[in-house]
Amino acid sequence: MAINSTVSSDGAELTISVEGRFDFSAHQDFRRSYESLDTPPRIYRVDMRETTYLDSSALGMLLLLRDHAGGDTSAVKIVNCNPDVKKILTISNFEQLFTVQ
Amino acid sequence: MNDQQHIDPATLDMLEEVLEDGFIGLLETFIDDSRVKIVSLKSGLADANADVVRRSAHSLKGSSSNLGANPMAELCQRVEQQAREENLEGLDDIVEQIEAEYQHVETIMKEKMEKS
Amino acid sequence: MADCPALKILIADDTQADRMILESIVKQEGHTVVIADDGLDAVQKFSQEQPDIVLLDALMPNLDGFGAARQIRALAGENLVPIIFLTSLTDTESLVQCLDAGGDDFLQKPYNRVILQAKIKAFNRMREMHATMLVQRDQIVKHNNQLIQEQTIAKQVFDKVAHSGCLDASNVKHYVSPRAVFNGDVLVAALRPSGNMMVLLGDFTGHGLPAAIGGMPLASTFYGMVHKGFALTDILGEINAKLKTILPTGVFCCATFLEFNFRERTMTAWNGGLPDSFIYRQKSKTVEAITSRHLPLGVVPNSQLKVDCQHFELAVGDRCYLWSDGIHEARNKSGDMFGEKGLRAVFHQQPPPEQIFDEIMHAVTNFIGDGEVDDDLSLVEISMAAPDQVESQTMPRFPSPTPGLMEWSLDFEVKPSTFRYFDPLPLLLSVITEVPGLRSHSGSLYTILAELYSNALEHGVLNLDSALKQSSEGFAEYYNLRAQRLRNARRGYIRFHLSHDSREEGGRLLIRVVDSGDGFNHQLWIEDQRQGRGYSGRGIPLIRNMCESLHYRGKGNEVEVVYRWANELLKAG
Repeated sequence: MAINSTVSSDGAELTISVEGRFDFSAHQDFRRSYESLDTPPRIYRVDMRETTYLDSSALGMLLLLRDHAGGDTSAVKIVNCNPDVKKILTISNFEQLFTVQ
Repeated sequence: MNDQQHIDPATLDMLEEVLEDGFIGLLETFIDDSRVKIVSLKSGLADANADVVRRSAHSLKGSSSNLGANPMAELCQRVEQQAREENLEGLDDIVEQIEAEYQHVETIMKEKMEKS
Repeated sequence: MADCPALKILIADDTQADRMILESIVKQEGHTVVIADDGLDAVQKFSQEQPDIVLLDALMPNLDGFGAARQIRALAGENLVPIIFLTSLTDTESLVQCLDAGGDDFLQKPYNRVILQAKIKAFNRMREMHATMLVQRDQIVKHNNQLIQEQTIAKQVFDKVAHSGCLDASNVKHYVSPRAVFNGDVLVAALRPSGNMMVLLGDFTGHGLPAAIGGMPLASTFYGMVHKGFALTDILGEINAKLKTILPTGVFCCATFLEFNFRERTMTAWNGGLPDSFIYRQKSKTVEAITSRHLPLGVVPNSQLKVDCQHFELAVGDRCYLWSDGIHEARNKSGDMFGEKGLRAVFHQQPPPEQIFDEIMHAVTNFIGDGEVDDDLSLVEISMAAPDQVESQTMPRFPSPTPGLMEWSLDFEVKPSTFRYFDPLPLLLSVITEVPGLRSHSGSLYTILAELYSNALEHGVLNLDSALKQSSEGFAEYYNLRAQRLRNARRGYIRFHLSHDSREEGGRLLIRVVDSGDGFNHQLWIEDQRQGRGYSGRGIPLIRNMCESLHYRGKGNEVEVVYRWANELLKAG
C-alpha cells in the first residue's frame, strides 16, 4: 500500500494515487493527502491504476473525501479502475456519488 | 627476571585502589590459597589423578591472573590443558617451575605488605 | 552511579581471592553482594536471597556453574535474572556450553573493572525492560479478559435485540460467523402482522464491536416497525435516517432487505451494496440474481435515498440466498478469492435443493482450508413455503389483554399527499389492538385491512387492473404502473369507518372502506365466484374466510366486512 498525491501546476486539481491494497491501513496517508493542502483544489482525482483491491473501509474513506470536498457539490473523480475495483464500486452504487471513469 | 616480570604492577595498583583496606587481606588470602592449591597439585600428580591436577591448576590460573602474576598463570594454563587431555607426562617439570615462580610472587607480595 | 540503582548481586566462586576482588568491584558501585562458594551454595543462596544478577564461576566443586545456572533458571521462572559466567576458559566449546546452560554472558579472568561495571549496567537495563514487559503483558491479558467478559455480556444484550425474530422458522437456514465476539454482519428476520416475512442482512463497514454497534439501532428499528406492520420502504427509510444520523461519515451498512408474501408467493427485494443475492428456482434449477441497485444504508440522507424495489414471483420450494461479501472474499492459502464463481459452481452441480445451504458452507470451508478467515461470513437461505408452515411457529407473542377500548367508532380519511408517502395501516392496527383481546388477532386484522386498503388504493384510486398480475411480465408492469400512478396521484381518497362493540365472550368489529374510484361490477363478480370462474385477485376469498360477512355496496367502491371474535382467555377459563 502506498498513497501518492500530486497537485496540478495551476493548483486546481489534486490527484491521489493508491498503490496495492486500498484498505484500512491506508487511512492516515489517504486523509493526509488532501487535508494537508493549503489551498483546496477544485477537482479531486483518485487514481486507481495501481490499486489491486478495495474494501468497505476504503469506500468509507472515499465518502470522507467526498464530504471534505463539499459533499453533494463536490467534484471527486475515481479514475482508471481495474474490473475488480470497478465491480466493488458498482455493487455499492458509488457511481451515484462519484464520477467513476 | 625482575619483579615486574613476575607480577604486573598495574594490576596490583588497580587492586589496591579497588580493595583499599582489604588489599592486604587479599594478598594474604591469595598466598594461603595458593600454598594449598600447589600442595594439592603435587599430590594429584603423585596419585596420577588428572582431575585433581586439572582443577587445582585451573583455580591457580584464575587467581594468579587476577592478581597479575601472569607467568605463573601461563604455566598453570599449560598444566590444566595437558591434564584435561589426561596426559600427565612431563608435568613434574612444569609444576616445579610453578612452585619456583610462586616463590618470587610470594616474596614480592610480602614486601608489598610490609611496605603498606 | 545514578543510572544504575543498587542491585543485589550473587557471586559464586570457589577461589576466595577471586571472590574478594569481584566483591570489591561490585560493592564499589553501591550494590549489595551475596557470596556463595560452590554451585550448590549458589542455588540455595539464590532461592533465599532472590538476587537481581548472578555471577557464576564455571568450574566449582559440588555443582559446577552449568548445573547451577540450569537450576537458577528454573527457580527464576519467567523473571529475567541475568547470569554472567566467570571464566578463564577460553575455548569456543566451553563458551558455547555456558550459553547453552542458560548463561547470558561471560566475564573473563583477569577481571576488568570497567567491563564488569558496564555489563552490570547493560544487564540491569535488560532486566528492567523485561520486568516492564511482564507487567505490560499481564495488564494486556487482564484488559483483554475484561474486554471479552464485557463483550460477552454486551453480546447477550445485543443478541436479545438483534435475534429476537423468527430466524428459527422452519423455512430459514442461517449461519453468521463472528471473527470476534461481535460481528459486523447483522441478520434480522420477523413476521409482519399479515404473516409476511421480512429479512434483512446487513454488513457494516469494519469488524467487531465498532461495526456491531450500528446493528443495535438497525435491529430495534426493524423489529419495532415490522411487528407493527410498516411497509418495507418505510422501514428502509427509518433505518437509513437513523444510521445516517448516528454513524460517522465513512461507516455505513450494505444491506439486502427481502419481504416474502407466502400467500401470494411473491417476494419484494431491495439491495444496497451487497453482492448479488440469488433466487434458486426449483423447477428450472436456475439461478436469478438480485443485484444491488442502491447505495448502502447510512450514506445519503432520506431525501436522496431510493427505495424502489424489485418484485419476484416464487413457487413453493424456491429458495433465496443472501450473503455478505465475506463469502466472496474468503481466501485460500494462495490468496485466491472464493468469489461469485465459487458460489455459482455449487449451484451448477445441482445438489438436492435441501442440501444447497450445507453444500455452500462445505465449499467455502474447503476452499479456505488452512487459509485465514479475514472477514465475517454470513449465509442465509429462505424458502418460499405454504403460509401455514411459517406463521404458526413464530408469530410474535403479545402480552395478555388489559382493559382498554371496548365500544367505539372511528372515521379516517386518507388523501393523496398521505397515501403517496405514508402507510396508514400501522396506525389503524395500533388503534384496533388497543381493544383487550384483539391483540392476538392482529395478524388476521392486518391482513383484512391490508387487502381492503390495497384494493381501494390500487383498483379504486389508481385504477389498476389486477388481471395484469397473472403473467410474469404483467406482474412487473403492474408494480411499475402502481409506482408511477402513485407518484402522479393528485386527487382521490380512501375512507375507513371502523366500529366495535364488546361482548362478554368477545366482540364484533365492522370495517367499511370507501374509495373515490369507479368501482366494479360486483354483482357479476360474485356470480362468477359462485360459478367457480372468478379470478383470484383482490384477496377476497381469503377475507371472506376470516370474516363473518363481506358485502360490496354502491357501484363497487364501497366494501363492508364484519369481523367477529371470541375472547380466548374466557374460552380457556
